Amino acid sequence: MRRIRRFFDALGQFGTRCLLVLVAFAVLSAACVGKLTVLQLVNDKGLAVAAEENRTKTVTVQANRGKIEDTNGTVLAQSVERYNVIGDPVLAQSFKPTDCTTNNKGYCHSINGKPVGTTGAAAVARLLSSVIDVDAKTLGAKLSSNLRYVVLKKNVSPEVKRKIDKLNIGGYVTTELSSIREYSNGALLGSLLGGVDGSGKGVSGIELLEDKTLTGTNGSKKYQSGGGGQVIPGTLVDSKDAVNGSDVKLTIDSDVDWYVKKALTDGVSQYHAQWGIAVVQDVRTGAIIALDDSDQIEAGSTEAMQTASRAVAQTFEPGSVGKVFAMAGMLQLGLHKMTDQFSVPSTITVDGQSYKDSHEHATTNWTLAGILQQSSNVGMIMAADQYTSEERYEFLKKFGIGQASGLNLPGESSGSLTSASTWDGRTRNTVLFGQGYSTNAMQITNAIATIANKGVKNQQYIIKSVTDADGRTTTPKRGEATRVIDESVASQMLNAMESVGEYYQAQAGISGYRIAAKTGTAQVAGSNGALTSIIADWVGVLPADNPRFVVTVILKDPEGTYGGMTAGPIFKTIGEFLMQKYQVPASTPRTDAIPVTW
Amino acid sequence: MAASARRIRSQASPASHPERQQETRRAAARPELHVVKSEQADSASSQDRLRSFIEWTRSHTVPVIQVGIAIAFLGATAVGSLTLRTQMAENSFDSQQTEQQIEKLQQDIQTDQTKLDSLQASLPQKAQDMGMVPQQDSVTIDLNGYQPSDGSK
Repeated sequence: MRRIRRFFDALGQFGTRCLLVLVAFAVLSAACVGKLTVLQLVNDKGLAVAAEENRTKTVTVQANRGKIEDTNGTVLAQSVERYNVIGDPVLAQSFKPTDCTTNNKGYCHSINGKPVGTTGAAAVARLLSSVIDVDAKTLGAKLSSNLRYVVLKKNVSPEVKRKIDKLNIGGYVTTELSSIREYSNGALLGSLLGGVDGSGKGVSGIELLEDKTLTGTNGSKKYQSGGGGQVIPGTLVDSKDAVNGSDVKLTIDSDVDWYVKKALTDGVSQYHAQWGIAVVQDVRTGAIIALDDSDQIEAGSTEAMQTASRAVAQTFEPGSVGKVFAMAGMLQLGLHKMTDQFSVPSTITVDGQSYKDSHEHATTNWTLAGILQQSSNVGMIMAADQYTSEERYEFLKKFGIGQASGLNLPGESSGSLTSASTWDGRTRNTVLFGQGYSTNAMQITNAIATIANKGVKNQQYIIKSVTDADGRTTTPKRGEATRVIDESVASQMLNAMESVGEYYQAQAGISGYRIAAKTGTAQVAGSNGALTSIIADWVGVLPADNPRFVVTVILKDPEGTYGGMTAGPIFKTIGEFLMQKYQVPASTPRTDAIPVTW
Repeated sequence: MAASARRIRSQASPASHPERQQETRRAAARPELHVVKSEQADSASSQDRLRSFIEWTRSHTVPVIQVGIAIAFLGATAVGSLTLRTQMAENSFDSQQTEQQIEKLQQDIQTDQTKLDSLQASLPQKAQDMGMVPQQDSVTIDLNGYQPSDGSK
């Protein structure tokens, strides 16, 4: 102890202080060296891994949803990139704008060359409202909370995003990449195309039907990034390319569909109908060329996501169009020929049930073709005396009535065709003229197309092809075509239907072309549940001598009631357009008409 | 070997003797003696060290020139590596900027394509608004029963 005291005495006060400082530094240095040793030698691997993990980030590479195109490649739906504008209210409240001078243009703040004039959230709101279409007060209110993340506006365009970048308020306001679905045609095919939800998943219409095909697979990149987010060279450890969704091409021709919708909308307006539906089908292939209704539903809208296409969702009794299916069955079974003669009164009573024609008439001599032309309910009952209930049911089923169309469109209703054993005495006969069961527009279109296609029922389809991200085009598998009636029976039926077309020449005749058609009018339940509403329909084949198209037009509660008088003229308008557009050769004169009277 | 600098305090006489103790107290009042460190000696020491290092290198099979070359090579590779890494970092920034530019152009293309598709879709309506209507009837020429005129024979 004495030596130490002597030592300190020898050092003096200054020397002692210096020594103490030296010792303190020595201890500090030793601690640093110790810590460094621990960091570099003991925990080196763990810390290196932690640091690498901190720098490493995995970035998702967004895959685009595929397009929906019409048969000619016209884009009906596509996804485009957009941005969500995000605010940091806590940070925004501390914002102090920098007035612009000649030297600080890269980071100063101004609105149209003028100073912002305030600070905090209000300043950020003022700056932002000058480029996005949101009121500064609204933005200010959103930025006045104590949150760190507030969505200020969704889905702004890249152009607006670039304007936001130039405001020099990064950190206070940021943008996040998103995407929206754009539909080029507005209300055209609105409910058929459907829509997608906020995450880009199809929720209705074609968007839902083909969701798996349209949805791509996101890719990713894993790398170490610098402060600016750039890739540190040589650190890309994992990379997976995004695979965009496939493009879906429909059989729909948007030009034809536009014209069909226009004709339908005009017709609904002219006849003061509640709504209208129209379908155009290619007879030879079963492809749906147009399918629309009079509803003005914008594709992608909330309504489009909640409402199925009326053409597949709306069911109704087909009325006299149903006579075609019943009569085809009778001919196929050999119960009658089209030339068979009947004396048909205006009313008939069977098993205590009375039936009458739509118009009162004297007992008239009609052939079976005449019964179809005059759409006689009584004549159908008379002709079907040997036609059993099971046979009636079987042929309706074979024509696809009450059966799923196979299109698998969301919201499709198959209608209702109960088995023959459940029919009462009246229903057994009303099914002969299209009452007692319900169908939809697609079913009756394909049933008539079966007759136009020489008795062979094609599988309807609306998806023409699918092209994947690599450009490979595939055609979806379709159901087999099935023969329903013999070619000769189909020919007789088409001949009789042509007589119907001639009967309505004034209303629905197309100059230069022969048409085969059948009209229908059925009473259906109105809003009060009673039979107060009318369905007027028209299904036509054109040209009758070389069938190319089947056009179905359906109106609900038209003024003029009868299908031939209301839906017929709409068919004419659509038919004329189809003949011109597809440059269909004019028909040859009719020489083989089956007599309708005797 | 050069002598190392040392501070020496005399401890030659026993401190217990009373006369000696008095003498020691007097001596404490005088300045202490110490060896002054020679700068020349230090310099000579460094030269000695260098000389011994050269001797050591000569005693080995690898001549010092080769060691020098190796050191220079290592230095050059270190500088080269640093230069390359700097260049790669610069390229990474450039690459990121180019990618952003491509992304921007793709967005512009997408936006313009969408506008074009909308305009294309609105063509039928615009044509109708301008009063254009599709042709209603076909113009057909029936050649059944056609008889060529004498002049055409």
